[in-house]
Amino acid sequence: MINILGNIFLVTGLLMLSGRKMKTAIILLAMQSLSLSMIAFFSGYALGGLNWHMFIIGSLTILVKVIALPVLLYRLVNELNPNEPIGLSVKSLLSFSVGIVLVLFSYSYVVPEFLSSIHVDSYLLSAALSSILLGCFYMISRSCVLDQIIGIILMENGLFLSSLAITGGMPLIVELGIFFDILVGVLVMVGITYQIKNSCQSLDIKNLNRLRG
Amino acid sequence: MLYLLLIIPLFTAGIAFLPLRVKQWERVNIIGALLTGVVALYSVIDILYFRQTFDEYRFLIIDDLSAIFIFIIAVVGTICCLYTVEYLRKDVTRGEVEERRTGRFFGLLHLFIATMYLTVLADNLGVMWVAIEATTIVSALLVGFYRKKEGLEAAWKYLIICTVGIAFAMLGIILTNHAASLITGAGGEVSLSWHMLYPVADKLDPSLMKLAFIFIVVGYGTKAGLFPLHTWLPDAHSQAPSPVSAILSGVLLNCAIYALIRFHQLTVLATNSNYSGQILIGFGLLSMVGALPFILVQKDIKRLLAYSSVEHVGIIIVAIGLGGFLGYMGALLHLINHSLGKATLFLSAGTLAQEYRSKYMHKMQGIGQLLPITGTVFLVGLFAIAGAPPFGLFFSEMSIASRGFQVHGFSLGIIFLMAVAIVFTGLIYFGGKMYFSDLPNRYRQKEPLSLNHMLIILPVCFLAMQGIYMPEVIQNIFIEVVHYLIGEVG
Repeated sequence: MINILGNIFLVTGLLMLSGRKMKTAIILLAMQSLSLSMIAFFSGYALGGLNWHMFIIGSLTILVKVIALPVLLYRLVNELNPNEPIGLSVKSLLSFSVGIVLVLFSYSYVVPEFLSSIHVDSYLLSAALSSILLGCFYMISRSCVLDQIIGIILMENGLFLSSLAITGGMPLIVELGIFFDILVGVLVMVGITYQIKNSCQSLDIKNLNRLRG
Repeated sequence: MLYLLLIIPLFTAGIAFLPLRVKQWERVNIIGALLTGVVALYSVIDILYFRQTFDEYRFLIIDDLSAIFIFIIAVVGTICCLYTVEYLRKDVTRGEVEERRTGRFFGLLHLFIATMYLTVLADNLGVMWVAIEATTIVSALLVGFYRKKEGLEAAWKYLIICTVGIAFAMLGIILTNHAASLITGAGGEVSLSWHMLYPVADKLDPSLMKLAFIFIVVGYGTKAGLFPLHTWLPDAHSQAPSPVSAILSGVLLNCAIYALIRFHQLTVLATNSNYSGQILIGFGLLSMVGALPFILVQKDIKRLLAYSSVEHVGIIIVAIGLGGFLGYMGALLHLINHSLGKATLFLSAGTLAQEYRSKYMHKMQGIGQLLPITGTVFLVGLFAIAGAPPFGLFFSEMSIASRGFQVHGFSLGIIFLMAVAIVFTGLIYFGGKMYFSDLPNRYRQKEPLSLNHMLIILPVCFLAMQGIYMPEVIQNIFIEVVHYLIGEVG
């Protein structure tokens, strides 16, 4: 079951790269977070009965990453409506194939070779690391301010899954702190996004090129 | 006691966010800053002079190393908070900031300081990460406070680059957690507390810890401004309001260095080799050399100071990598000296930029005639930061260089000294051109001595004092801290 969820996690991440529309990406991101929370619930269940730690972080994932942040971003897209033809600096087919290369890279090289000293079930870990790489690439390949926020959440999902895969979660206080950070961090990013829209009349990061040298 | 260090700034921030009058906001800021500073200095003296131990705290903990960093945050943080009052008043009269937003500025400033205290006090390496990420979020708001295009760009780059960078540090922490859970069992909270990890660190899996350290260097190195990862630093430092630049450069970079030191010690203990030290030396030298061209061709005064910070972070990181008595002594002194010197420089440069209404150095002619006190302090601070005797930075750089010659022979020492020398010429060239030139007539005015001048003269006096007379008490404290650090590493 966890492997199936891991597959969903991976495929939603890949599909995000192929899409052109931001709204689709946000829905896919919410689905990925949902699969992440399910993984938390199931691995808690596999450890035996009701595991409070996993239960709390699973529910928090639903609350923050499935509901709060996607709704916020969705409304932001509606409101700011980045209609202008910004977005891909890499064509969508090409970016999808780069995504597949990154996934293969993490499955065949990073986890078995580079991280060979970690002896854990490598399947989830590979999915997690792929998601981190996909998040990085998502940010590089698109030039809208909002896409960078989405990319960061994608990376964060990958980090979260890798902590689940490697150690079965971090200490609870750290997890809570991370949730708080990502929530406040995205709120601040959204705030700055509004200001950028106000002062540049555009959300293209190509406008942010004044500081050099 | 330690909890007060978080509660007071948080409380101050809370009040500052309330809708008050400007005078009240200023008063809240001053009282909050002084209280925090006093409590911080008290706890530093308690541990370094009276040798109290605070073992009973579980969540927050203080040892010799964190005491040094608390001292830096206390001194630089308080000076900057007090300096901000006058600085913001000028900004309000010049129309840079609306009057009603000053309260928010003070609030964010104190929140920023609280997150930095949490960074150096947290016992749990994961909480330390959370705190460092929180510093990024809060200070990004301060960097973009003017809401100009350039400021927003700098804030955005800073936020994104540091968030992505620090994500890699999280991977390092996850690996450390894994290594720890292999020896302690599913240890939960225990497995990430550094003071519990150090005694058992030699049992940690060395290959895992080496791997973790690579991620940690990339992650926290981004935040510390190590060379190829430094891109956010000059933008953020140059666009932020000057007191914020002073804190960013003087304190925030140190917080990331603090995290690097903790992990470096852990890795040294686990691998029983200086593997992590070699990495640090490499990155440090790269930062020193990489910052050179940017310093020599710089036009913007605050970017000049920012690149000088990249160079100094490089120096400190090299010193930590070298280790040993001279290395750690040099690193600690340099941490403190650089913070004090850079704070003075950013604050005085900010006032100069306000007067000239420009940050470009070729427009700042005759600073000694326009603002005799601030201008002179700026020039003296520039000499101090460039490493001229009798200022403290000369001595810390000397001890690091001699440790470099000792351990790695000729090549490292020569590269180190060459970089320092070239930066020296660069800084003095710019400083001299600004100071010893004639003032365009339209600027003539007088500058009466005020409290703000005291705030920037004080750190320079401390730096000069180190070269002339260092009381034995302080010497002994430093020697003990260094022995403590060497003892930790074994």
